[in-house]
Amino acid sequence: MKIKHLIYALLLVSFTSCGEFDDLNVDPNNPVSVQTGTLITSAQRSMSDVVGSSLGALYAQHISDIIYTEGGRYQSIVADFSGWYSGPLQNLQTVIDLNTDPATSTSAAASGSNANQIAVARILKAYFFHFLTDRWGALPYSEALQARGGIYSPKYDSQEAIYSALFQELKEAVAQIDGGPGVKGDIIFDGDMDSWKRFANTIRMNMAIRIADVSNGKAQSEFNDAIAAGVIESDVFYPYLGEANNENPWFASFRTRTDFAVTEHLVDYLKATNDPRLAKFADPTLNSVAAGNPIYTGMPYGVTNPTSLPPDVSYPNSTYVKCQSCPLSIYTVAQVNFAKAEAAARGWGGGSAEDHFRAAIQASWDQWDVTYTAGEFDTYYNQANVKWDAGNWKASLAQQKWVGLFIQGYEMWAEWRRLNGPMFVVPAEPLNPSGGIPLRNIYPTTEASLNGVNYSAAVTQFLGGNDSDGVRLWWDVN
Amino acid sequence: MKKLSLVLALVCFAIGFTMAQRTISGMVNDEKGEALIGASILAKGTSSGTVTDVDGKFSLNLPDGANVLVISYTGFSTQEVTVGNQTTLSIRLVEGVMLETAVVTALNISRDEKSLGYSVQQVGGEDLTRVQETNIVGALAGKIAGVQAVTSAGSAVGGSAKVRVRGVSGLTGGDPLFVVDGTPLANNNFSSSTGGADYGNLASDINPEDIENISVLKGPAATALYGERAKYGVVMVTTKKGRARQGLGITFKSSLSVENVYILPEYQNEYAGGYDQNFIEVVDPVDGKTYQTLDYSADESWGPRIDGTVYRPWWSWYDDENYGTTVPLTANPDNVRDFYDTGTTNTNSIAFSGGTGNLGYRVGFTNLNQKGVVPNSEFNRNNVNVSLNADVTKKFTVIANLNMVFSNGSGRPSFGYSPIFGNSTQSFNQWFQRQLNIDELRDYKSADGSFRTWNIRSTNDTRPLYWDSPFFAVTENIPTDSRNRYFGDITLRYALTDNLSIQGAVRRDNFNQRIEERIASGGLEEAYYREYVADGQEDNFELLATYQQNFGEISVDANLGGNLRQNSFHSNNAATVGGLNVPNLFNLGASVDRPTLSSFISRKDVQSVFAALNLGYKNFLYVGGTLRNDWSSALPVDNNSYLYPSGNVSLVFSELLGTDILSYGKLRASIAQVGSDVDPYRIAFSYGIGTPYGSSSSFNVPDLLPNEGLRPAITTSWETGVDLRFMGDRLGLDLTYYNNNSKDEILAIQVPGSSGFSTALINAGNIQSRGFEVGITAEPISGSNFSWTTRINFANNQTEIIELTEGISNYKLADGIGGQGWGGLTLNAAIGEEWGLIRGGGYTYIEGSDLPRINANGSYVRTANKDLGSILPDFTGGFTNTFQIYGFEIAAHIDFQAGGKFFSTTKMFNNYSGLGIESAAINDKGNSIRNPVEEGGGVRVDGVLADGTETVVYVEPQTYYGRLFGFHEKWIYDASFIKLREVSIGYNLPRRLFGSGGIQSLKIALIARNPLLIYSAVEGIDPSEILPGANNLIFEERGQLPSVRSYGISVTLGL
Repeated sequence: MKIKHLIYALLLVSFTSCGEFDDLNVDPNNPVSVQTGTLITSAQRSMSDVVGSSLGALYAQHISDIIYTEGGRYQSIVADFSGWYSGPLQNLQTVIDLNTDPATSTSAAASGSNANQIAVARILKAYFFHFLTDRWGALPYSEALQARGGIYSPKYDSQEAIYSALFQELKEAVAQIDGGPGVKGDIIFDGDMDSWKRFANTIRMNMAIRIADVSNGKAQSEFNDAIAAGVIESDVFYPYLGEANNENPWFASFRTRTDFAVTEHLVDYLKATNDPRLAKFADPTLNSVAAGNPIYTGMPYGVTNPTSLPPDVSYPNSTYVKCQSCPLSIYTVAQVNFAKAEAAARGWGGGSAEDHFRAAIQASWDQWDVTYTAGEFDTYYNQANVKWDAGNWKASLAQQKWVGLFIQGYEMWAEWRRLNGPMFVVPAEPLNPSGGIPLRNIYPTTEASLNGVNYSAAVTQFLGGNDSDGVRLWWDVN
Repeated sequence: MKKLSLVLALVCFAIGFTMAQRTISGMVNDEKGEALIGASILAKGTSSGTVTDVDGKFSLNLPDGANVLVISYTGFSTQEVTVGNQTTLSIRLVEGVMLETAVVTALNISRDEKSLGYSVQQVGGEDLTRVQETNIVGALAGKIAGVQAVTSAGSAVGGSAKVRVRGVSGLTGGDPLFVVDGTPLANNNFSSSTGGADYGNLASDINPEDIENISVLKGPAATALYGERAKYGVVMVTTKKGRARQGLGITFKSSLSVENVYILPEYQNEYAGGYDQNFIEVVDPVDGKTYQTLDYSADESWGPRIDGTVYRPWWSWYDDENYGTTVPLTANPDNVRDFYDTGTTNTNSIAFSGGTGNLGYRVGFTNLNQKGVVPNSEFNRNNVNVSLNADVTKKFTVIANLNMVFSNGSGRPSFGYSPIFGNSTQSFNQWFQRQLNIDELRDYKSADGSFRTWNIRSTNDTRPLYWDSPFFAVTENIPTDSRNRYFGDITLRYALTDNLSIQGAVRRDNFNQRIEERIASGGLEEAYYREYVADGQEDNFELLATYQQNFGEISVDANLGGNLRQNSFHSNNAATVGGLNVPNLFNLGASVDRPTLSSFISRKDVQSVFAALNLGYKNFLYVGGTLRNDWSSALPVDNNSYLYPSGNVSLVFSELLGTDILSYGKLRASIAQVGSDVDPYRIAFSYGIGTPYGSSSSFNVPDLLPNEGLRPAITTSWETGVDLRFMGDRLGLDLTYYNNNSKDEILAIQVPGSSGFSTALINAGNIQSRGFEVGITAEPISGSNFSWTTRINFANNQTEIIELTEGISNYKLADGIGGQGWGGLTLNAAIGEEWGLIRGGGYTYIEGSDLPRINANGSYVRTANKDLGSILPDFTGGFTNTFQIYGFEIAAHIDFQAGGKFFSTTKMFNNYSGLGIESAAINDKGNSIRNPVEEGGGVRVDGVLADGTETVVYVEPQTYYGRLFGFHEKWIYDASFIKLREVSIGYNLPRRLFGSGGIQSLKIALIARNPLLIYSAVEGIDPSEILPGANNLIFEERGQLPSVRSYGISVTLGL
């Protein structure tokens, strides 16, 4: 009898709260659905990591390490791309999915018309993929971002295939923009869909120039098509805010430290050409200011042991580069004009190469808030080491792009590789396997273990069996 | 049902038939023959019991059917004695852990050691408190075979300690479950796992002074009854209880020890701060003269020779009365050691205990106060322990245990690579200038309130560059924390018959944690304030029926139970962003920008039913089994139930042999499974909250792909062992071999990020952990005035990854410091390799030479992602000796570890920065390596060139060590050590001195903690103290705080 009671009592203890039990595992901390605009905001915040990267600025030799010089000696050449996929790209893919799936598209439309959101997400995806492929080369693309569809180990696509797909994506995205409400949560263009069209066309224009040496025909047609469709007419910046959660990363890194200075050979070139942008790029050295005689001194690039005291070299400029809310360039009018100059020089039409080149430099001066007279500009422009040299236009372009794309690190690193100029400094004690200036980032070590089959196939197929930073990308043929 | 009633009636009849009481009397003595007063005598399986009187004598009416007496006494091993036909017994109890016969097993059930088919080892409270160790986890170090303790440095007052039981039995590591008097305790850790203040692990709330004994249940065989949480073992604590006794029953104990910094790296004292050996010449703007000075913006010591040159020290550039002072450059070899204070640990406890025949009570209060060696660090803990057991009637017993803990810390030092909150030790060992006079830095505040530091930006800009004065952080950036906690149980037990009892228990563990972290205004870092508040609670409602009966030569011991466990946890985390709008207003409202805010709530229930059956035959053969089913709310609703069994057998073969040499011999074997679930909210998809941009909120698709198809995971293990004792138990040998396979674990397995997620939750893997454990106990000398007992234990463990999941050959457990940017150090579980494999950059070798490949300039050719060994030790153990010489007791405890790798950031930067002795060594030519290479200096590098030629290159040391930054192989060390951890010399004043007055006992002891690190494979680091806060994977030392050595005195007075 008592045993029966005991069993009843046990059952009672164990199952009294059954109804509640099944509902306990509903997460009270995180939402199961959100407005898709918030995912776009999140993805756009990652653009800051593209344009505000100190590593990019080191690779472009705009900036040098003052004390701990390992970064500029390419210690981080093995770099992980995973976070870009699981971060912004996955958010953008989710925006596309939620706006496409009939079950969710109606509620998703609260953040703008479905077509407009999809278009913006596709354009931003293309922006990130372009940035990524120019760092690593072949990457997972066609099978990427499909874990929820069951693909955990995406194959790599050639850089050529990725470029080709991105051209297509950008065209289709622009074409699908409709007259419906613009996207919400857009911190770059505030939902102005016309700006998105121009932005997409600008990316396409830039990509076309990049492949000019490897695929001239495709480059020319994409370029001309992009220009005809309308590119940006004003600089596109990442808009930092005067608060710590959304502040300029250079400001953040200088909040307590003084690790970076403008590179010596850049300062020397700017000085040699009396370029007024020097005062916009750099601050005079602290010691020279303290001594009442402000001068600009660059930091030699990639030294092994520190050679200069921080107050004896020029930090990035406090008003234009490293203030808390200083915007940083995503795409500039100067870039458009440089591209047009190159197109003209390549005989793709579109006017005088030199005129575009002049316009590019002028746009750069304007961008950096230089006040000047036409005469002052002419004096500057007509110097031999500035002026367009039609016989050696790549050198002219490379030199001025290096200045005009100041602090747009990753973009300039790509252009350096393509244009083979200007002359960069090879560190005496490089930490990258190739020992030279890197031509690409090395795949993260996790790929060999996590995505081994596809990784090995990619290394064999696209890198000649050697996942080194000394292997040229597809478009890097010279 | 009728059948059942019939059985019951038969059983009752059988009981009634044989029910005839007889009286047994006897005496209980200790090893020296002294009478033990108030020892408890219990007829096993019944509620009949008594206590010994003033002369140690007892008399008990023994119900028939009961044939075994359980004799227990505080500080002594509990003994079971088979009565047989005897009517008088003489029982000798033994102190400490030797010769256990009754042990506490799962669910707080005390069982005869003979009957267990698995290994359980017990440590008495005395062995934990002998030298005033404050964290019970640390106190276990080296005391139990197969239990590895790793602690934080002694200078982290109230810092963390971690135990690994039998290596790791799960892919991601894990902690054993802590249980006090049957109540499971949370062992959260609110510290970071890489740096900042170490707030200790929550199990350290258990007061060592209240502990009667600790048993560690190692394999799932012993733990099947605790379910999933017992997968990593169970540490079962039994607190002291009250009982009838002579005297007032008041025990007062006071211990005080002083501690000093023990191990620091060896520093060079020949070269001052700077990046090269030239003084810097500066024209003073005030007097226009040129002075020699050092490069104070350098936090490295590659500077000029310390040769007495007259120069301007850092403080001569501050605008005060010392401006312009010049002094000769001299060495300060003890500057680091002099930074630290002498710490103290003071423990005072008082306990009232006593009782009558049917009532026992104990009320204990302990106050612990620690002042650390790092200036201004302090930790306080107050423990209250109340326990009551009352036999309300002969059949009805009420037990209540209540523990309250109030702890608070202030200024707990930051550990690890954490310059932001100011780990001064990290600065001293990694980024510093050797010539600095520490006394000049004490005064870190100028008259105008601005802060002073050696690391000024330049002679005309005296703001700090990378480091505030080391005294700034420990005085201004004071973190504070407090925790209030209560835990305990109320248990009601009713004996339905002499053999069947039912027990219901309500158990609760509740804690409330507060942490406040501060960075003061005006220093190097932006001012900051963070507040973290958490409260956690676990309730267990437990019902247990116990049936114990002997049928002739067969004994039956059965349990049937059910448990409902409810966990809840709430936390708020808030921190200022962008500084404080009023200097040093440490208030969240003072945040300049939008503060970071987050809340977290979690709930989880697990319902369980379980049964256990143990059968014994003639006291020498025992067979047992358990069965448990759990239902977890964290698993998918249609897959949330999991059932798992265990079985064990024990054969006391010495009973069959009847030889005198072998006094006890037992073979045991067991096999068991244990199921486990997952944290709550891991099966369904939800978005993560991102950082808002202005008024635009942002959300993220999480990196973890959840899984609605998860299954419970099952670990299967078996173990076998033998327990041999010789010559009247004077020599004992205990051997165990175990094998543990953890399969289908619920893992956040890494997937290629390009899939859109970085991890996916799946069931995967097979990790195998196996090893042997050896325990030797001996009493080589046994006399009334001199005795010597010795205990040795050691254990080996190998934990290998058998499989992960299709297509995945490696599971990355963690990234090392600096990630890819610092060369990509990782900790891994790779198929076919031992768990905890460190991978990183290292030397390259080619065929035909034992020398590493180098380039013509002497740099090593680096191989990335090289296997650099596992963090798990090859074996661990301890060695304890106790001598009794007249009234003196001398005890010494050594623990040791062989193997187990770790990466040392301290060592790497100690040389990178030119601080370490190696960075100013003498080379094989007899010259300082700092001399120019062309003058015979430089570090000699032997290597082989690409073409196979062996060559020697001399490299300038700054370049040499610079190249070794992120060159992990160079900085990987064996964590092998032999440590004399505890020494005590105690004297028990003879009782006759006190006459018949109030004093019952008085013991005075001299104690030493960590008196000697006898051997360490790494210079300057104590490898037994490298636990970084809440870190579960101890594979790198990012900036270890110094270890301490302490000496003290302890007085115990019994009234």
